[in-house]
Amino acid sequence: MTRRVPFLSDRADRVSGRLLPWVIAVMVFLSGIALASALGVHDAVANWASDLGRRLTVQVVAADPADRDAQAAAAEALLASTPGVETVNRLDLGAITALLEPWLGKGNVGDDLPLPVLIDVTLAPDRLINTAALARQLREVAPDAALDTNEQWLSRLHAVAGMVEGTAVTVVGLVTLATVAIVIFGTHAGLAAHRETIETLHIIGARDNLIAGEFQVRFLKLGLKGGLIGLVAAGVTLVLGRSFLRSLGGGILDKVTLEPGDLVVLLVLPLAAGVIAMFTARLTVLRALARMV
Amino acid sequence: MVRFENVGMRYGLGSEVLRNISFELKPGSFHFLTGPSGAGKSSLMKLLYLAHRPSRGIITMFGQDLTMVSRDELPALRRRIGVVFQDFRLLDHLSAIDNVMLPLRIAGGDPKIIREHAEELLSWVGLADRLEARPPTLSGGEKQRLAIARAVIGKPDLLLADEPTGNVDPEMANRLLHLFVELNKLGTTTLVATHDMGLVSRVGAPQLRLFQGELVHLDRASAVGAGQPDAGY
Repeated sequence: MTRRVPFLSDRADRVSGRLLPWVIAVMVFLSGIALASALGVHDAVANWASDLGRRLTVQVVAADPADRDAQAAAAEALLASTPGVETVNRLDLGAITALLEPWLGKGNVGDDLPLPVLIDVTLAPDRLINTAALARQLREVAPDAALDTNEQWLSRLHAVAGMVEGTAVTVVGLVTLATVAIVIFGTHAGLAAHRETIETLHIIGARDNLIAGEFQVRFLKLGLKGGLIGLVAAGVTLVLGRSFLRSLGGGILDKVTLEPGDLVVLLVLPLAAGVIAMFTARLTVLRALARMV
Repeated sequence: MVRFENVGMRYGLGSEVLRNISFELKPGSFHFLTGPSGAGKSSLMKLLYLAHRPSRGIITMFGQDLTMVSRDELPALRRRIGVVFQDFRLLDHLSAIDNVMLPLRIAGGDPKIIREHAEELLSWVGLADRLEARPPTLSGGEKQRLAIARAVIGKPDLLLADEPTGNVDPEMANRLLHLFVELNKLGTTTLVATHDMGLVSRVGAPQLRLFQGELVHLDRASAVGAGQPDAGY
């Protein structure tokens, strides 16, 4: 078997050979963190939306406790008989007090505080329900009842997710542009370092494709190397970040997690870095060689 | 083989470094290109090994008008030309045999056959025991012979040598010249650029003499049947 002998020496171009993988590693790290954040938030919002989309809350606010209970009972009966409603659960006083304690403080919810009745409604999966019609029917049997479909909360959630995703796409776009610029710079440095060898190869009959091929293989390797370093760094950061979020306890952020499909997207990043570096180097070399005779 | 008709050449927007150059190299001929330093020998060589385009005039090479040849067609023409550079232009990161194999590897071919051929050639130039040596470890004469081996491995139709004896002692110069004459006898059209008139007189081949960018002395260059070196140089 004949060994492959490179036409261009790696030693002649040590600067880009040493620096480029680290620069690309930083780029892949930033892209990885941005993409992971966007994908994690996207998945979390999708889960919340699917969960909240099946939940309704009915609130009965009436000053007179007897009237409030009567309206709540009427509302419960209506909801239980509505097609598509799976469960109807009236929150007891303890649960409502627990909801208020973060704002009022523990033990500050007095008996004299008029609390609304909250009814948690779960809809059957894959069933559509006309919430506007349900709200009208509710008002007929319980004039002080209000139906909350969580739409406002969901739209805010989607807006936040959209912002995070938009930011991530912008970061990845800018990082890609920066990577292309750095590879162009590195390729020009390589061309300058190998100028005499390239001229010699040219004169003894080498085609542009052959010379460009040498550069593209070299930059593919550099890109993959940098990409892998960046991916490992991003992976460690994400694992540490996940542990930190979990340590914060049962809030919203600890629900942010990555699905297996998201991990595949992240694993593609080093490959993408290598391919971007390879094609950028190839095009840069071909353009430079085209200026030669 | 090669015909120049009123060829001029300039670098960028500068003045012409070659003017009204006209000559013809017949197939199988041997010529010297002579002239003092700065006369334009290297520029003329660049035109011949297709590293530069003329600014005017017509160059016909291997029956093709170069003004009609596209850039994509030039590599195929370059592979028919062997060049021995004054500064050797060996690739220092490659071994001697890898340097010699370079033109055929570029052209494509069976690596095993290429290697066998390269080994024979290195043996012919007296470097059989330096196959794996890197150029920086070779002497001036060894580098020159290595450069010659690389130039001829592709069996070129045209062999160009720019000051091939400039960096070696007189004995080595004679041996190198002998190599060129041997190659020429095998049918390779040969042009050797030199300012060593002693060398020219020893071989007795016709010369193209350049002075201040013009061909001032055309000695038997285009005469039919001329251009063979004297056997007893």
